[in-house]
Amino acid sequence: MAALIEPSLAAALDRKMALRGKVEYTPSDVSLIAEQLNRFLTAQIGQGFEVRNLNALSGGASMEQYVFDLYRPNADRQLVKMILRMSPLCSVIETCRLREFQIIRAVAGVLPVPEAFWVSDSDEYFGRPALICSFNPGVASPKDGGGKATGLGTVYGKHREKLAPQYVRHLAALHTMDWRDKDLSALVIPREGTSDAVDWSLAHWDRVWDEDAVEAHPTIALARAWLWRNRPVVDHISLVHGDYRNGNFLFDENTDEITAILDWEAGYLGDRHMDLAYAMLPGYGTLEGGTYYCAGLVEKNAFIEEYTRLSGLSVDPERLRYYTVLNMYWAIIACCATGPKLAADRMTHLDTMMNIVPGLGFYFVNELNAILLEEQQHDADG
Amino acid sequence: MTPTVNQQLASMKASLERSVIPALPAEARFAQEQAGMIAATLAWLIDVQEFELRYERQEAADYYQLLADLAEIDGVEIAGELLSTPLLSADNSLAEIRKQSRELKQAAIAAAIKLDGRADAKLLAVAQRQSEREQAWFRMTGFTSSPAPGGIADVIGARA
Repeated sequence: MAALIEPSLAAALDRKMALRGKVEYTPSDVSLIAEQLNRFLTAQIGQGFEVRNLNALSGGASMEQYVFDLYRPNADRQLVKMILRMSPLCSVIETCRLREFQIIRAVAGVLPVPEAFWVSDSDEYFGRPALICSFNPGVASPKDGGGKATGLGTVYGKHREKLAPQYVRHLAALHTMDWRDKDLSALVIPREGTSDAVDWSLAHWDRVWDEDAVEAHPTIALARAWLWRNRPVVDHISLVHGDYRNGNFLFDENTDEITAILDWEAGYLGDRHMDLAYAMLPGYGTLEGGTYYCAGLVEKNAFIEEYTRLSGLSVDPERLRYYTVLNMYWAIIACCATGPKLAADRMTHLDTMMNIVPGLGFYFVNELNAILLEEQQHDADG
Repeated sequence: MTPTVNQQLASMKASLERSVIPALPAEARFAQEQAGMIAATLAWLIDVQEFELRYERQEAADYYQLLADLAEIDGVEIAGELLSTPLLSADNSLAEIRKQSRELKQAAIAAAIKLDGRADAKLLAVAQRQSEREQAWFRMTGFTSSPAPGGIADVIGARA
């Protein structure tokens, strides 16, 4: 029997396939967005508001985003700067706005996150799912930090010393928070002590590859077989961020406080090692003065030591290795299959970028080949 | 033939960087970001575009050889026409060569995986050769491994 794909994620993939070949992305007119936004907000809060300063936001590799001020003369907070996050026609990672909305609300108060106000999980108001959250102050990278459009390779420089402990502390807090009394109805809860969460993840990414890849790839074929053969059980079900790295949080450049952890759309219930391995992926970190800093922030051993101390949860090297492979597997699929497929089908607002992201995917292919070689040698040695 | 494709790409990049990007309004950040990526992509194309046909031919040759190696293993069934059809030459079109490369790749990978680990080492060796090409082809995207990959001309030339 085929493993389950979480229904909300399967629905997002179904939507992509239903659109494929039938429609192409066309830029949204800001006046149309304003009209849609007004209609949606009226349904949420009635009359007595005004949308001001609506503008498209640049940056990012998936969502289409607009920033605006919501003015409500009779509300406690008269003026709130907000972000409208809309799925583009299709995205390099198909996700679900309702999941993202529920996860942000679940972690509010535990971690610094944007305030999630409303969600439209259907196409009714914006022609696609969308959510509205607060626009948080802060920067994703220092003004002199370099890095790429996606935030990968961000160098934090003088800010690193204060940011690193917060980065580790927030991850430990996420993985130990009690999520069971939160509304996470869009997520399926895996059974502890089983490989449910891994099975669902693999089934999901296998499907994405099968639907999006233009041609077969030997590393994907080998990694897929290895991942299914070596599935670990999950000893403790944590809320997992899914994209916990440099570029995906904001901080105040003056105080070095993390003001918001962003991009929760890949979140799910599963194994903490998924986030840990992801944050430690080569390619996201920086080599500075001969030391490698995971996510440009923290040296690997110090990361593990501090995370273990704060969370009280163990970090298992074998599972860390497994989830390194799983993270590379999905990153390769998203970058090398989905990205260029979206560009070929004209289904994204980021056509040029979608042809560039395979560069990252093939970087991971090279890294993954090295791991697979070690595994083969290990097996050969018995 | 003049202008060459590379000259045209270089001219487009120059026009974009000298005339178009500076004329974009400061507040049009999304458009600026996209224009920057187009300029970077043009530089990348200049680096690689002459080698696309040779890249595909080398890929086809690698998978043809893998398929032939797998055919020697007991119990492996390979569709006869894939190995009886000679590798296409540089006189064929890029589209024809790419089609052959993809068919060989699909068949070889599927056959190797069916062997439940017995051909994994062979498949990984091909994957590593392919990765060298991929790294070289995409080096201008900035996602480079250490040591930095050579140019595609060097990688393909070394195997010619």
